[in-house]
Amino acid sequence: MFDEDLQQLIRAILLVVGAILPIVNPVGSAPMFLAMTHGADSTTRRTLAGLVAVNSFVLLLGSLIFGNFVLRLFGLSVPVVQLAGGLVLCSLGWRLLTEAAPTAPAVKTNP
Amino acid sequence: MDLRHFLEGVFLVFAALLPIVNPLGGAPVFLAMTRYADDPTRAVLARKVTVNSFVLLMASVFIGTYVLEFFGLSIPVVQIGGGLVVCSVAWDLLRGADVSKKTNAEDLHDPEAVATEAFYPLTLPLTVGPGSISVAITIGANHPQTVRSFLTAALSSLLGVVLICISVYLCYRYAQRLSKFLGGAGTAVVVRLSAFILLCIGVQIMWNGIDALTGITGPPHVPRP
Repeated sequence: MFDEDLQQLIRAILLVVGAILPIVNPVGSAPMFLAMTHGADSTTRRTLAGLVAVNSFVLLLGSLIFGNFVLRLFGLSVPVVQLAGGLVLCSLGWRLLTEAAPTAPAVKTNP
Repeated sequence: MDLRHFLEGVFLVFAALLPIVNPLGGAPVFLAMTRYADDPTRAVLARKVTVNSFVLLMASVFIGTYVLEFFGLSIPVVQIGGGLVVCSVAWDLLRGADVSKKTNAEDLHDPEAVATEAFYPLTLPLTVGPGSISVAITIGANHPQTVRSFLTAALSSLLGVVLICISVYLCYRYAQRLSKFLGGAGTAVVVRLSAFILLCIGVQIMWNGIDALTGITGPPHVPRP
């Protein structure tokens, strides 16, 4: 009985991790994080890492629980969210790409 | 008989407009746009936005069809143009400078600036956007035959729009309680999140217009103005 529940729990955890890990892609995002925070010292960077982790947790959990409801409330479809989110991502990437010398002390970026 | 038509009309107008005007969803956006304003200014803004919305919706119901016809526009075109404006406002809100930095704080103490701000961008396109305008135009598009039925339809549209505007006022007037509850950092998060949702709404409205014009997901259905 407990065995079955345990199995189901493990399967669900693996499903969530397996679905979200390749997209959140922490390993791939690490250089991005480095680029966005260049100029910050390592203490600030550690604080930022903690804050980003907590924010991500809240945002992911919020999307998981209320996401469907929010989309229906505003009459949005998932592809539209992808399109709009992709635009924001493109703009961020564009700025990172065309930014002046990466060694210059950064203005505090807070996107 | 007339009373039943009247009540049905009121309900139809209210039910059609409420999900699109969406005062509950608009309250955080209102909060985000007025984050530098103080309490009394925000109250004035809420009242002005309500009055502006009323005028705009009534004008769309009664003369919207003629305005579109005059300029040779179709509703999907209004959706694409309006969606672009919504996207642009959302973009500024999303990628704007530091939320804690005041940029137009002084502006909002000048009564004339408040009135201007209350129309654009707070009323149009954030409260009564392209979606609401196209629905309002559609509501006014069927022309009744007799004077009696015209009066019934007109009165029911009037009451329906009044109810919508009352809900807008209530939601916007009490939006600041949400702000006090959230605090500084919380408000910053709400600003960014509602900006992103607003961007999605803009894209959705544009997409609806593009889809109607080109018929990507079905046959094109361009309603004649």
